[in-house]
Amino acid sequence: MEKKYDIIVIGAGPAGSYAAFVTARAGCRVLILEKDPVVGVPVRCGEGVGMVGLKMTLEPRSEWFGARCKGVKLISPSGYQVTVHDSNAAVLDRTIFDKAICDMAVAQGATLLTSCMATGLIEKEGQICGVKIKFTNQKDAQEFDLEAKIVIAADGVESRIARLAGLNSTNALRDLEVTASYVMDHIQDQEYCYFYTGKKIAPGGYVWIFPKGGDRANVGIGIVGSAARYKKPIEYLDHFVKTYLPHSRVIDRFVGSVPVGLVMKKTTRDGFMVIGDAAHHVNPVSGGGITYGLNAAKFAGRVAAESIRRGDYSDRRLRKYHQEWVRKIGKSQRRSYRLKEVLMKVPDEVIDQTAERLMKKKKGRTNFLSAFVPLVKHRPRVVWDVFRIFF
Amino acid sequence: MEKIKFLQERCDLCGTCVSVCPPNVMEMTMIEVEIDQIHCTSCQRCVFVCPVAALVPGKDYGKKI
Repeated sequence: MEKKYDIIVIGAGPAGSYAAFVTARAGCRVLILEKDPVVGVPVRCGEGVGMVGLKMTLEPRSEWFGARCKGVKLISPSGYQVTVHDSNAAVLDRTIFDKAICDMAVAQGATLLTSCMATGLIEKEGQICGVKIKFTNQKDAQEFDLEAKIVIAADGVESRIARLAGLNSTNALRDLEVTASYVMDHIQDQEYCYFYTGKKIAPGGYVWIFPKGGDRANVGIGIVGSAARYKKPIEYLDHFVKTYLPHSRVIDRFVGSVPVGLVMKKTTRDGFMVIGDAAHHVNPVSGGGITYGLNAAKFAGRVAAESIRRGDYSDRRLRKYHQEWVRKIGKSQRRSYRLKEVLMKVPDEVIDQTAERLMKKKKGRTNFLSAFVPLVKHRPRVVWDVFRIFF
Repeated sequence: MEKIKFLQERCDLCGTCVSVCPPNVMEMTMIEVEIDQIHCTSCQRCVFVCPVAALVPGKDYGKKI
């Protein structure tokens, strides 16, 4: 096995694979490390994605999707249903999607090493210059050293590699959504994505039902990390399933978490970059990280390839990727973060009243803005909050 | 020394605990989460966020060395 590469990417999720694709296309010698034996398995994701966001980086192919939706249905705590027709919503099959992006990278000449975990970083004179690896499919496996000019960490929510490099990627409990999710059958409505809100259903989060085609759907819950202390998300989800989907069976189960804070202050070091969930490249309202992560991978890949060409792997050069991300996407993330903070504070009754008025709007001539009167009455500060979201 | 007790049969290896650990003493392998019990500060954040309750306070919880 070769021991020297231009770039080593840790993690073969969408962000990692796409960064490998961009750099390999630019002519770098790239290695992707994946700790699981198969790319795309296990899936730890709700699998919902926005088409507009996805098209910013990729040409979507139909085989990646489980179902194309007509829109979303938002259900308030007492059951008022607001339908939004929007062809932007789509549901991915992450097993196929992750594999497809990884294949793109491999087709450009990147090397993929599965069942191989990064256990540490090699540092020389303040510069990250390699990765310690271990094969996970062998017992008592030995550690190997691999050399790289730039290491790109895309190791997902746990983001341990970034912390080994000395960057602060620890999540605060209030800026983390803890999730549990089932793949279920006997889901009749395959045309809409459902979002259920409410403090009793999912404190500081929501329950989703995303259709996957056939009669299956991804049913999951995200609750804010500080609420998981008292009751676990899986208990909330079991309760939800018993109430709303009594005829469906659980086919598969997984748990996980999503960082819903702002992007890390610093995502680069000499010879080192962090991208994707690991760098908190996630939309704080939806908890979706694919679009932001792929964009981060695109920017990081370009900057890394340029650095290799110039032979300069200093933080000063790599930092350009972080600056570009903040300039192009940071603003939208900040807005979403403030919106999330507002939504967390709104009590259930106010959401109900707003949803009720929005439903009526469909039938009559109620002004769209007047639907938000109860919200403003309850919390006059919301006007200022919304003002802050947009300016 | 066991400040945090790890229950392997419940764990789904999602990495949530690793992401919130302030002193970064947890490491996920392919079968379990390894905890450096010596450097653990007993802050319990991993216990709070674990989605399947696979981490619980151990018998030496809160002890200083």
